[in-house]
Amino acid sequence: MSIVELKGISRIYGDGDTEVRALDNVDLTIKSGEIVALLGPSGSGKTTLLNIIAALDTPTAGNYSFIGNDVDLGNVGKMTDFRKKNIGYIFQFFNLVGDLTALENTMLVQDLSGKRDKKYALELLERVGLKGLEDRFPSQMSGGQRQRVAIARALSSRPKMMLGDELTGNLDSETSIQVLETLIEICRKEGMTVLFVTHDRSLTKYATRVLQLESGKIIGDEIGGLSTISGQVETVAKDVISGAKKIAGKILEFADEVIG
Amino acid sequence: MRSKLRVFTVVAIVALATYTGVMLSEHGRNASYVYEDFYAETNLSDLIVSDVEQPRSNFTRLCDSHSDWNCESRLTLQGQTYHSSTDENKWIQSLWHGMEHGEVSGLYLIEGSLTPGDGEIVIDAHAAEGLNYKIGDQIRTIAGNGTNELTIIGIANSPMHLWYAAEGTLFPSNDGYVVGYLDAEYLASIAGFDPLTRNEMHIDMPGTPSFDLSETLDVDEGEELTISRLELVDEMRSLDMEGDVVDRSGMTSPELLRIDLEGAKKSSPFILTVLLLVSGLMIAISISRLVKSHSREIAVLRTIGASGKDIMTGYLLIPLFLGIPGVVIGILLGVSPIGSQLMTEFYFDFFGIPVVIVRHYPDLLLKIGLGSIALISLFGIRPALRASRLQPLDILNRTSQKPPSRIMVKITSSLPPGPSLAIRSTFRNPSRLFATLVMLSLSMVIMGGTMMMTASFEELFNETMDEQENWDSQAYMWPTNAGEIESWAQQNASDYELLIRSSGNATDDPRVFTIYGLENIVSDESAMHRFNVVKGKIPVIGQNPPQVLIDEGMASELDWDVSDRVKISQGSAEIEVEVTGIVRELERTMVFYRTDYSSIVGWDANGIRLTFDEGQQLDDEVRSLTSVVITKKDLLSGFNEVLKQQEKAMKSTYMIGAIMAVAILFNTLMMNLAERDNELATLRVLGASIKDLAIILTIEHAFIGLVGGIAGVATSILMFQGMASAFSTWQFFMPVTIDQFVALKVLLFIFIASLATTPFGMWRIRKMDLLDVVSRHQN
Repeated sequence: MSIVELKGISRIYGDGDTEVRALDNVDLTIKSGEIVALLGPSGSGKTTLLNIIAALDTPTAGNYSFIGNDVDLGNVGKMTDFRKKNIGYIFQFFNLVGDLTALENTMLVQDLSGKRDKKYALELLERVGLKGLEDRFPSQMSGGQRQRVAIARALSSRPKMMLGDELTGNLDSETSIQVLETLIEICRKEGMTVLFVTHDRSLTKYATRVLQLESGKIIGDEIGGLSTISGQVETVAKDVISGAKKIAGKILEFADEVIG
Repeated sequence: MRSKLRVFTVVAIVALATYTGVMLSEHGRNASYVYEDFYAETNLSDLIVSDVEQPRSNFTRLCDSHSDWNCESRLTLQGQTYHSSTDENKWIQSLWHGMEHGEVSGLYLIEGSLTPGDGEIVIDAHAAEGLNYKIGDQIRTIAGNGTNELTIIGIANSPMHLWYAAEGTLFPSNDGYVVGYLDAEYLASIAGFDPLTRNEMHIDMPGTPSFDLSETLDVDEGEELTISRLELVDEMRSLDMEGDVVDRSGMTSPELLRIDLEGAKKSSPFILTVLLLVSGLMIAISISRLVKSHSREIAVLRTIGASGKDIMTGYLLIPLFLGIPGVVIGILLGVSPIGSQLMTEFYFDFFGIPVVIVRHYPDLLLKIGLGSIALISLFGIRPALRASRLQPLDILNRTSQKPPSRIMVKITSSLPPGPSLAIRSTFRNPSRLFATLVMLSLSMVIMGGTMMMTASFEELFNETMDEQENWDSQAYMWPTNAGEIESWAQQNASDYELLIRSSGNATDDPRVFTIYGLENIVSDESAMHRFNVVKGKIPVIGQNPPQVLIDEGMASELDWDVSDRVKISQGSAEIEVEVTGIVRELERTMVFYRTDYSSIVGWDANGIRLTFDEGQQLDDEVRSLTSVVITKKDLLSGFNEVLKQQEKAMKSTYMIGAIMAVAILFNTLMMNLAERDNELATLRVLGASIKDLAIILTIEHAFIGLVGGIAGVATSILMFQGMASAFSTWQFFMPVTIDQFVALKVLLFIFIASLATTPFGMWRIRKMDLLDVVSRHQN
């Protein structure tokens, strides 16, 4: 089932000599549960595409439907409501609220959605590896810890889709891997769709699908590393199970003979 | 745009401060010149000798040994004028000056002639304006015996009546008081005296000698004049004259105008300083914010070798860039037709003073301009120093704001994150919050303090002139006429009470107070005059020494208290009395029982208070036996007229304070938005609706409004206490009574003004470019 369907999406900034075509007639379908990495050089339109999917920006032309329903991108109130109900957003610079603790930051989105669930917020913080740090303020945490709080915050309202804009862009490579692995692991378990923008090709191994943008157009749409690895794992597992079944059959046959 | 708005707000506040300063200061100087010119033109006397009616020669011989003095005797009598209009016919309290040559305390001609003959009168311009008198009009008057028809031949102003208030009241009233100027011999004749009878002498000494100011008891500013005055008093005593000699501090109109002007002169630098402090604080906050937003650039500059001094210089110049345009605009507004000219004209229009020349004073403008810029510049020093002390590594390694204080976390931890965030962010920058509260408090010093002062003023007058008074008319007469008037009252009034009114002073203090001898001294409605006893108790009749009440102004000024036994001078007698209670009264008052006091003065009554049934009033026959008749209705109508005028004047003061407060709150909002745009945009991205953010912003501003309102009320009360103490004089004592309704109004004003700025904040948030804001910040 497709969760995101974009048809003929264009986004043009400015006009005349200053016109910039950030997205040019983009068609895109993302299926539920997919983990999509969006790659591309600076100015290729990846952030614009992410912002339109997040209902933060309004396309100049085209249609956007989410789980089969058209998204009204001309109404600020409806766009806000759409984000609140469907989208979990993770920023490059974390954007935590400095006056709130990790737990309060996590619960902030729940409060905005009117679904306060402290137990779930605490569970999320534990799952992102921040158990015991719930009462810390952002200034008392490392960059990696802050981004984990941001992940917990994005997940706390149980969104249907997670969006990340260069979410590891402000972290060192080791922390980037840890953070991304945490995010992917939770999202896969929850069956959540993920779309993350990155300029780091090495991170595509965590995606099931890799989209490549250039000059506002999708020029590549590949199976991601995670999809390949999981396929191999699945084949091996199937072989192991099939072998095990065969062995078990033979053992049963042998037992019957012995008993019989 | 936000920066532009902030700059505009700061420049506008500096301009408003300077404009107000120029307006008040130039008005003060203009007013001084107006009075000086007028007194010089009309040759206002330096000393006035007054005594009971007696031959002119008794007065003129006092000048025999002073050939360089210009002396002119005069007959001044209380009287009444019959005024008929389409609305009503009434007798109006009047004062007649019988003048000789008009060379001392002369008249300033507005229209007609200044030399009245028999049957002619020159009318004061205030009355002509208030009662619509024209040259050639006939008026019916009472002056001593019987009534007289007089023809108006001139309209003029007198230096003795620029503050146009009848005796017994402080309130100017153009249509409730008539002052007329007649020939001295003619006035004496129609009043039943010998033509050469006089009761005053006006003395003009060479130059304009300084006189002792009433508000400074320890210093004699006019020693030379005091010596002459005391010599005259001695001479009078040696000639068996019991009267008194007063300098300009004892002349009602010049003294009240001087006190009023002194008040204006004292308050203008104070108001200017308060307004400039607000402007300076606002500039300091703006620079601090600028330093914060520039911190990374500063770090880079420091890293590549810029010194602290290099950094500091730039920030030190900002107050000049913001201050100079504001000061220039303020000065231009101040000298424009809506500046000091408007104020001076409005002010003198209120007093009905004829010649008003409005000038501008370059030295004053320069002083205000440079002083304002200097004061504002001081506020740039601290933020500039902080900028110069920023260390590159500290800034570059700083990745997030400080957490809120533990106490704040503890207080708000049980709240949902939204309200918790609103409260914590209110206190995120305590120094700025404190500065905001200081600024609000300062603006309320002007607005709230003035409102409380006005409310207290109204309350005092309502209480002392209306609620405490249960008579319809009161009349004063020669003690010899008291019996006849009492007989009339027994027949015609529904109730009456005879009284004695005279004056006296503490034996060791020359300031004069009014002494009443009353039939009944009670604190309930059963009396013609109800006493509001603020301390002590009602006196007991027939005690030795006699027991008295004193008013709280006297108690404060003379440092007298309940149970004190004090000595007073009444005429040439010295009396010891015991104070049993302190009461609230408009004038400085001592109250005896009439029987106690009549044994001191030697006569029974010289006044009467009356109540009438519907339609009843004093008839002409009785009026001719009285010297002064005051009706409560006229007194209240004069008071209400003054109140209306005062409210008009006060509204502009309220407005200045209100504009300052709104500008401060608006600036706070702009700072708040500038500092939190990333946070607010993040919340929007995460799904917070405009309504969600409106709630957060509203909680924050409600909190600021509430705390600011409380601070505003506190400073308003302090200011009011200071103003009451500064404005209280012997003539006019202002008791400190806090009007809770006004305090609530001040609090609600700040609270509502704070909330009223939030829609603008929401508009700004709605217009915020979320994508840009979110992508360019790091938290």
